[in-house]
Amino acid sequence: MLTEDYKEILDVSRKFAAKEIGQHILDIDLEPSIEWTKALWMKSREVGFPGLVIPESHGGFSQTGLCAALVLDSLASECAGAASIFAHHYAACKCIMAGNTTQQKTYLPQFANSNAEDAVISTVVFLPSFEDNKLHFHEKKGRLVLSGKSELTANAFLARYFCVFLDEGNQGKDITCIVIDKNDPGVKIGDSAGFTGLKINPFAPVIFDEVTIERERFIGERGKGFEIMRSTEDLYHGLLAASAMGAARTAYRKARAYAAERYQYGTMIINHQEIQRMLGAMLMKLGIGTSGYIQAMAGESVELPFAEARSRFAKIFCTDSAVEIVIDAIQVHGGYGYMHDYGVEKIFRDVKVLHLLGGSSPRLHMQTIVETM
Amino acid sequence: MDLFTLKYGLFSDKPDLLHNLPSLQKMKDRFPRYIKRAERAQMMGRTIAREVLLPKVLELDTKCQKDPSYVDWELFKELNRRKALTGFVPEKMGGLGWSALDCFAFIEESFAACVGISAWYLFNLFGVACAFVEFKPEICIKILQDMVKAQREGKPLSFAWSITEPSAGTDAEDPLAMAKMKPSAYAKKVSGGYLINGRKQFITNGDLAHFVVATICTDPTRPAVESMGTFYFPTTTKGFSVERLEHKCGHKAKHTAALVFDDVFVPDADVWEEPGRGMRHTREILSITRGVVGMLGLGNARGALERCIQFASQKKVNGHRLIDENWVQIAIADMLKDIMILRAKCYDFAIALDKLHVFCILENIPAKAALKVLPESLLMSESLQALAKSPWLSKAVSRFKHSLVTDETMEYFASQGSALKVAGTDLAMNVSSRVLDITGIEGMAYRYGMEKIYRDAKASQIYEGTNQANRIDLFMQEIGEVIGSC
Repeated sequence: MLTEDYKEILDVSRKFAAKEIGQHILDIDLEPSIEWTKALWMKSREVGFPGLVIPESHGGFSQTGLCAALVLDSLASECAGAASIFAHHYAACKCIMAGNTTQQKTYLPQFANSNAEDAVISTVVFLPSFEDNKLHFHEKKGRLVLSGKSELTANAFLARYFCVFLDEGNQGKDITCIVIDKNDPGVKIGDSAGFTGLKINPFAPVIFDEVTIERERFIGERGKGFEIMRSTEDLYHGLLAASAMGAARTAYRKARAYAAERYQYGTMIINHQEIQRMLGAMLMKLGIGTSGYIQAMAGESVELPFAEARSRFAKIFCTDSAVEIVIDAIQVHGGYGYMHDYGVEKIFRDVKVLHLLGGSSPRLHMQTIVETM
Repeated sequence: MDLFTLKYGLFSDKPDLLHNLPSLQKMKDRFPRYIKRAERAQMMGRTIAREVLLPKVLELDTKCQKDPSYVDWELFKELNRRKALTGFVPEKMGGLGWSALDCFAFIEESFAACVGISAWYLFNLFGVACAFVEFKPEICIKILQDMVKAQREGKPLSFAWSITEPSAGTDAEDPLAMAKMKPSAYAKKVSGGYLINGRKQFITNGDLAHFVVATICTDPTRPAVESMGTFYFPTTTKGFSVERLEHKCGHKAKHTAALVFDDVFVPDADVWEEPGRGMRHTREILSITRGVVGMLGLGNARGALERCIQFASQKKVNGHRLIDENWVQIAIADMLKDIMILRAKCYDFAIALDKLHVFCILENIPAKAALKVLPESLLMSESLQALAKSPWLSKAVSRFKHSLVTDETMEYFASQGSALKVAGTDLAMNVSSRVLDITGIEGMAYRYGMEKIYRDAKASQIYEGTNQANRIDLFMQEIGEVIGSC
């Protein structure tokens, strides 16, 4: 299933993550700055990450969602926050790729960062969980304007473009997708929500105060964007699953290494059966989760006889597992695992945010069944 | 959004101790003073939690993240003014005369507000517990008197109980593990006392402490358990230093220090337990404090759940409140069920402490009589200290205490405490994670304080013996003897 192409990209990605992220990330996590994150993005342009999933005809590398997922897995193994920036950017790319030729020509080369001087980062705004954050259209002096607030937007301080989904009918069906430029009059970014996970990617409210929406901003037809949202979510969930596995894998590795060093009860703790059980369970979850997201992202190229692989399932399983893995990885470390220097507690903070992004597990389970009704 | 609008839990106006623990109603008939005082302690805890702690929770988390050495002395003064730090001191000496039940009723509320701040001001008492476990009258009386004086003067008086070493966490707390422990600190016998060299790790309030109580081995050639003693010294002693404060994931308001001892001299008189008896001392303290950490877990879980209930009752989804959803109600009920069951065990433990453990000493006839007869001026005087120093009295009191709290009692409480500690802290982790699944990503926003509780919870599964070590302990106490493999 993996071609030589993938291997090469993965190799580049691992080296990039180790050099540009891994070496600095614990210091950055204590005092994150937008400047550092932007600089990281600029460096990532040299290895082509921004345009990974964008067609070559628009300045990208025409890679699949699976390839993007594997890249994010490797980035997340150094910092899930870095992976989350790309997850939201790729999801936004996916939206635009569903747009018309003019839109693709306008946005995709920019999203691929192939012809821009500055960093061009995009993000996606899915439907809000709660009513008090509702985005809506209304008419003003013959113009169609967008108002409301997206309470938690990833890449908020980084993004130039926001791909926004709205639900005009309140039934989750009449979905409209629009693209908005940060520089459009009426777009404001609020204060950071202060997540203590994924800190290099601060989430913040984005406020749309009567932003004029011209027709060319609609991706697909107004009210008919359900399929676009669904396919964007599919990619997004797969990328979150992969990021969770990457982060959790590092937690496992650290715990495995520490268990072979730490002496307690008269022996290295790796010799205790309970520690072996914990580590074994972590590795099992990593194995099943990783093949789960790979299968889901490989889509129709893998034929499964009985089951269906969905990226939503992968997202639920991988992020649930990641939370469990990291909690146990800290436990194996004892008190040291709780301290910043060992790097596991950062993963603990990061994966809980990944766990809730794209919908919490109970909600996603329910959604799966509601769709069959 | 004001997170606290529903009158529930921390924000309910009525004492609900008897509602939560219905069997206490029967006890109230028989021991009205005992139960009424616990109800008052609960409301005092709740008032302090609401008025003093809650406004500071996130502020302190943020400040201590930037600077782990930050202390809010105004907060200290307020807690001190309300006697939150000397509740267990006999009333006649200026405290509140709390029983174990009172203490538990109080700390449940405090922990529900913030386990970090609570650990900062309450774990100080672990050091005091060290003295009471020993129950040498001259030590106990001096410490009580000093604490009361400090309270009156509004000055801090902190003790750091130092067990964990860089190379030994669990190993320093468990008898089986200690047999094979590799210590990082040693005390060498010299004329008139001991010289201590080495390190201690993850010491609560290590940088703020005025006194250190440390368990340390004296003989590198023998297994650690055979030479471990308990040493007491002021932090002004030459050779004592704080190497660093840790950057932790949570529990930020509670300082955690790495300590260095470089030829620290401790006179013989301040050796609380002779070499070889330090393990017993540790075990006896753990037999109390593990139950307290179980209660901490309960408070942590309650704090998370109560915030979630407030959040879910305000957020609207598809025309109704989040809390109106069926799955949310079932999840909340499931967590409430665990909290109710755990709480019953916590208070059972507290009442048992009053009946069988150190708390029963002041209730016992000689001590009770002494407290009744002696005037307050004498209780706080140096002449009482001098009297307590007399060898016959010291020996008699110590023997009296050991006859009340036997080794069997202590080991019994250690296993009960282990069960509570594991159940409480696992529940804390579980509930603090699950409530975020209910709120979804919005609940992760810093201002709601729920993700902070999630960060806090993880530490409690580790300290006071990892939950794995506590399980082994529990097994050995309950089953080990039966199967005869110890």
